[in-house]
Amino acid sequence: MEPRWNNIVTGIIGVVITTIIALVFWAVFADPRGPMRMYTPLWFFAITAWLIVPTIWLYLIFENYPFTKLPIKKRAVMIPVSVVITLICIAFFFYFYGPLAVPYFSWPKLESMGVAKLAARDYSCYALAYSAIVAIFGMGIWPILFNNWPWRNKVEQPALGFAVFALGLSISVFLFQVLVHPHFGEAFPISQKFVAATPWWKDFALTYHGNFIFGWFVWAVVYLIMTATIWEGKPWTAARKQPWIGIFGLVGIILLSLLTMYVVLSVMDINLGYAIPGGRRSAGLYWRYLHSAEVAGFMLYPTLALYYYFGNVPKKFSEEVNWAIRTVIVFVAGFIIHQLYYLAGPALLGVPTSWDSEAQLALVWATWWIVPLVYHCWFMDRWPLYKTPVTES
Amino acid sequence: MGKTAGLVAVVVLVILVGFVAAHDALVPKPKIEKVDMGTCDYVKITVLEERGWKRLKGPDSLLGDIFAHGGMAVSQWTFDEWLKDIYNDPSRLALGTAFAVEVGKGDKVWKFFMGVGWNAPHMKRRYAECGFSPDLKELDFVVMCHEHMDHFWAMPAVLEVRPDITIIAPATFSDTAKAKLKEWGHTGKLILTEPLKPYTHKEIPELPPGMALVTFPGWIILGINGEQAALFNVKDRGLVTATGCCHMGIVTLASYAASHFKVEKDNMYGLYGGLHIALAEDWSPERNDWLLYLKMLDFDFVGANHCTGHVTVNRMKEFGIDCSWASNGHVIEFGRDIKWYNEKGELIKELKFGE
Repeated sequence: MEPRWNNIVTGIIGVVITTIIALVFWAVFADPRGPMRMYTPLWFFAITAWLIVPTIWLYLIFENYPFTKLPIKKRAVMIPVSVVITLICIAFFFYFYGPLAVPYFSWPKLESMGVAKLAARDYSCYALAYSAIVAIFGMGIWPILFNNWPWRNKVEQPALGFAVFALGLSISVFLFQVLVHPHFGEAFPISQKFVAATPWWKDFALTYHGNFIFGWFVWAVVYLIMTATIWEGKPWTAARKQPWIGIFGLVGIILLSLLTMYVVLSVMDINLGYAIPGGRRSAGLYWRYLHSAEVAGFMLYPTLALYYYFGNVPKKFSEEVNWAIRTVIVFVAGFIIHQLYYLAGPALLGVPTSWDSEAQLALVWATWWIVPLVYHCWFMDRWPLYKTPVTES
Repeated sequence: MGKTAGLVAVVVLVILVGFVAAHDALVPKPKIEKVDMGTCDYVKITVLEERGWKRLKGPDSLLGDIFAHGGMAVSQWTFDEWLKDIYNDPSRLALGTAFAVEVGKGDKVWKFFMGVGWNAPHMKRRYAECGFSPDLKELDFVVMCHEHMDHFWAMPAVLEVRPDITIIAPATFSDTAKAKLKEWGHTGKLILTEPLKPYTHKEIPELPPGMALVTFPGWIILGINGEQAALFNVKDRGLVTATGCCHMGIVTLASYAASHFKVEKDNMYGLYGGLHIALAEDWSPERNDWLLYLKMLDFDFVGANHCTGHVTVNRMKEFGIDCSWASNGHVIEFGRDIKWYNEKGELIKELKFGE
């Protein structure tokens, strides 16, 4: 595949167009000054996160089956298909899974139990959003790290997709139960300790809040996506054979994510002073973990944009040097976006003025920003910015 | 190249681990000289109104209105029906949150309101029911904790009779709030307290000895920035905190107070006010953190109300915190002993501490 113009021009056009699309939809649906105002209580975040999950299913797991038979220009039909899948998933949580199994997934159920509308939406949107983040990782592990081992080249689509989907779903459900469910055991006025274990991290993380999990888990999502894109599988491919590549990648990503979170926390200590256990907002540890997740979120767009729109430059050095330069580019770009978000966000997006406001959640924009990009790049093979797509039939 | 790259990767990882392990050396540790606010003999707090709003859930309720306007990130100044509630009586929703403070030192007494409420006609009645004269001549000044509607918007009820009164507000007060003060007829002094700067009677002569004000910056819900807390140093007893909503967090506030002020016997004596823990009577796991560390502060008396939420009081019991709900008209006196009176003036709790 080749860019229609050179890498830089094509990349800039891609970034500008997807950003404008993201901004327009944000203004209509999310902006607290706009007509829909879905930014709080997390409703837009829940939808956005769940918009990404079906793109993982369709593109990574089912490899765009059966839409690969369509000409590239008509593959835009995958966008409404993906959106419909998102809506079906949310309806499933609201009207089936919530009422029959786990009420905190469903605000109609919570409201019927006497929870205030605002709080009910907060609870259920938090559950939806974080279940989606877990699903993005859980569903992405096998195609990205294990290259669909042991079925790759042995099973055709859609059977391959169903096998990987079933495995990914199992992994995701397990991860959610261990990493997120304990948070909800302490999320209600009465402790649900017989239904969910007391958060196992509370004694060393010094918080009951699930933000400790997302402080490193969002980094894990970022590193997984980096592995699939700008890292081109490295360094995990050093293990040479599956399943060792996958195991090395999974363990490596988790350790790297934990290390990154503690580096980010250390930087916050240097900039803000030590957090106060039991403190609030930026003085509280629960917020510091959240901000680690927010910083990670800002890496998502530059990772994907560098790979898909800028042709994954540079390529002229050794693989290792290319890898290192791309990583540095993403981290520098992510840091700049982090600064710009808090500088321009209040005027441009209508988000709260300060980075530690009680109503601030930078992950919402960071997540939403990649949605137009993945629709364009994963479903439409970057048409018309790139020529002769690889999967053109 | 592969081995070199591997070596470089290991070195980078070691540097990062080393940075995490040794970053303490780079964390700023400013030397803090503790401020001496002096001492007072007693602080007496009268709950003028703590309910804030008539209804929490459902239509025509606090959360219902917030939901209808787009959630917690939307500015309170865009809620037209709330602005109308200032003067409506009986109101659709507005009540208010305010308390009166009396500080005694020797034979001198200072009196002020901390917050004034939301619905002006209703609050005028409440001031009178709590023993204040119609012209509020007892007041030395008014302290504004923050500009949220339930604490600030009944200011016309005060300015109608005391337009020249001194108002001490956080410097984070918005231009809209300052303009409103003028629109409501304020002609007196407006003192703005800068964030994270302790103010005592040395900086603001109107304040009694043994009292300090501290503003904590930070954007809170409904587009509002900052909250100011009052601290009192009761002779031979220790620190008393008084907050409108305590958006800064009680652990943050108490930690700041302990590290920035000379406190009698280094003791946390009393806590009064809204603690902004479960305003919506909901919960979230980080609130367990707050209660866990609040317990460690070991206050002799915890009197909470308003945005603390009743569910918080129940959860406090699980954490071993004995919390009293200070209702309208209740009086809590922090002196040699702590005395808690109900709205009829009956003593309902007394904590004696001896000499």
